[in-house]
Amino acid sequence: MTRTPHGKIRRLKLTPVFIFLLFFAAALTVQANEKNTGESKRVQLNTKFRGIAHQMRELYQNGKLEQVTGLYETHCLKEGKKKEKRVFKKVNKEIRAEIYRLLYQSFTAMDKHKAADLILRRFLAIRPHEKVDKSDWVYIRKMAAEKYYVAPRFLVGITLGTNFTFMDTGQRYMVLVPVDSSEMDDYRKDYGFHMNHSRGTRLGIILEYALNKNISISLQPMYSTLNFQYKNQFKREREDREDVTLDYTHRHALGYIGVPVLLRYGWIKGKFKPYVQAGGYFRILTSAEKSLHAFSLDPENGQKDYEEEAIVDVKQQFTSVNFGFLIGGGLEYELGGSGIRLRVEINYRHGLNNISDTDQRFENKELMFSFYDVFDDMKPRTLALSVSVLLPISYKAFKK
Amino acid sequence: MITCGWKKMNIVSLCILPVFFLLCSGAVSCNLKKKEIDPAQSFTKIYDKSDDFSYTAVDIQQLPDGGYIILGEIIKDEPRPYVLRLDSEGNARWETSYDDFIVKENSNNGNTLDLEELGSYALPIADIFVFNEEYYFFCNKIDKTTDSINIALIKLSETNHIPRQEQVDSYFLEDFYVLPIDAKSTSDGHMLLFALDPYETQISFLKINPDKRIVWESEPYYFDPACTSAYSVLDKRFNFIERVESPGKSNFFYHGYLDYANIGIGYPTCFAITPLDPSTGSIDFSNALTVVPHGRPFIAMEWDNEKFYGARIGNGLVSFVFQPAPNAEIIVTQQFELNDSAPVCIKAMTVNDTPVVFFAGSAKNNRIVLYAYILSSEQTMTVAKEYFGHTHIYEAAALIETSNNGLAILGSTYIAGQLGRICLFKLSKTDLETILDNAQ
Repeated sequence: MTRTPHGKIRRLKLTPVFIFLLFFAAALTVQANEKNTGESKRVQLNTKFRGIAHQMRELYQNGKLEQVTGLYETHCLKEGKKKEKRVFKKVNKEIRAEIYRLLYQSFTAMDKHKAADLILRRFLAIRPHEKVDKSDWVYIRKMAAEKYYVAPRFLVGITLGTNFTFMDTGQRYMVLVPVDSSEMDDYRKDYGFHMNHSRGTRLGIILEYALNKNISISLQPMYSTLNFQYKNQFKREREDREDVTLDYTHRHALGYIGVPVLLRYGWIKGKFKPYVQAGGYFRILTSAEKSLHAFSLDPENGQKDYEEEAIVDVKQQFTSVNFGFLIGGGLEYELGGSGIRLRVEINYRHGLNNISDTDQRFENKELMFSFYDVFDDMKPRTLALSVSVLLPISYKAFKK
Repeated sequence: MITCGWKKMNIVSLCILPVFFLLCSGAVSCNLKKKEIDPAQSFTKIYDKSDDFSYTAVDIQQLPDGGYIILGEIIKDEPRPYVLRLDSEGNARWETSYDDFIVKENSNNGNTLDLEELGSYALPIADIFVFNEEYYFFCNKIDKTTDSINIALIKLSETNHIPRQEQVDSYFLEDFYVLPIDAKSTSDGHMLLFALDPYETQISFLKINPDKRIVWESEPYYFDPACTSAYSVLDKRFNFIERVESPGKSNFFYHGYLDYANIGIGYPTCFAITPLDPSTGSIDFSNALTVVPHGRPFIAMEWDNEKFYGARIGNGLVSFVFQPAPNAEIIVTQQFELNDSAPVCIKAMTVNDTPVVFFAGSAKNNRIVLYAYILSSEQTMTVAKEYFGHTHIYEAAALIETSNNGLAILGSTYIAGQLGRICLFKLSKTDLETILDNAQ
């Protein structure tokens, strides 16, 4: 399939992006609907536990510390276990924070420090940005800061960036071959880097889960375009006249949907927190297009005596799957205590498999016979720059 | 740095990455080559040169080592012969140059500094002959000193790539202005040449052995000069002599210019198919084949035992003609997409024990089209098609069966629509089976 180009071909294939956003919007709508029906139940729940918190406060003030903890065990924990009831986790955070505060103080007073620690971590997880005021919590916060590092447990975000692709070529293939083998190098494709035509884009979401205060694991489903170009030239020597060359420029835009999986190690000190990461990626080809421009100039007058342009669908000539590993790093900045993280990072992706489909290499007749082109064996190497915004969904107090 | 955090790491998290890569490997293994393509079985090559001459294909033969020898033309000032030697994978080994076909003489005895160009060799004709590691073909010798054109037999070898004219003693060949028209190899390893004198309007056949001795030379036959007006002797479409492999029968047929009206064949025509006596080269007019509709010339013919296949032209169309048995009904199929001004090549062979007739022609959309006719019975056939080429002109020149049960299509193309280049499409047995699977 060939189309005559109107403008540059470097653009995102938006269809997969729209499908993804549509899915996301649908999920949010379902969630909103569920929220309405559960609204009245939530009010009842909060009322109940507000009452429990009030009871605990009175008991604490009367020094009945065992009964304070007993109320917690009865209403908030699963029977016979130390895990909290799911229904308790749905209670308003303010009410839970008050219950945890009373529990922490009770356990501390009873010298049950282990239990107090556990309650304190649960408190910190729901109130990570508690403002310091003149209550006795100031003391608790100071104590907590010495033992725990409160960080997001689960984050979601979006990432946007650009990438630069270099091709690592293996076996070379040609349709137009020189009879004189000494000229073979002149016929090989030149995969020179070109800022504009080797640059692609990437857009995705981030799902990150903290394993501890430093290490997290991240899934980043994303759509990315991988652009690269090569050129070749066929020289014609003419007797008693200047030589003529036939120039071909081949530009490619490959669209992929992929899921990188990364292990991230971040430092926790400082305003700008550096991190490094490594992992792998797996992506599926959604589209592949080639833009061709061929011309030859008459050296005597500088006019083009031959010119041809085309856009060719070459998806069949590439493997449907590409995978590899990646390493990188960046800097993270938390926006003013809001919990929102901004990241700027750079990653190197090293493709491990040949993206040329060896079965289909010689099956694109237009490419072969009109433009004398077949794909070499290629493995992509990509340098990606990204900016990400992440929102914490939950927190955890990790031990320092 | 990373301390006790590893101890409490979720086991599932630890497993994610290895499982992820295992999945990747499994998925990619499905994308790995399902088959290794042997480069000698199947390839496509267009042979380029860095000069601005035009190259066109004439003939191809496969060699005992699996390689190929190609005869072509280089067109600069005049169309001189060109020989290209390939290995079994289609890679070039050696070639001749334009200047190799200049007729030279050392004007200063023994001194190679003074060379005088006496003429050149031009317009090579198929076939190219292979005898051990020596290669022969016929062409025209343009002699500037006598302003004449003669037939020349050119020889090259694997050890000496410089072409050399071989001396052949023949009264006919020594005459001025005699043109080589067609040449075929005989079943006993000789060369059969069809030569034509346009000024005397006569033709002759010669059988020459590899030692360049004339085995026989036929009497000259006159032909109607109107025939060469209608169909030029330089028309590359025509193959005037064809070999038939049929025990006990004349193993060559002639299809070309004759004065049929005067000789009494029964109808005035420029073209009839008449057998040649293999021992004398004489034309047996009484046994002219009736497979030929009167007056319409064939541009390609092939006999497979007693089956006849041909491609003929008329009314701007190419038609394929089948006679699957000596007295069987003749089947004619018109090929509207074929360009009737380009050659057609035929090859009858078997693919997986199935008799198939391949036709290679040039389509009006500038592509080479390969037809595969599967002969299920005397009256039923199915056909499959495959195209080679795109956008620029691609023309078929020759079609041969290869030693590994494949097919090689020799052709010419024009790079960026400008300069002629030789192309070769080698199809493996598997490729042919795939084509035949689509027969309807």
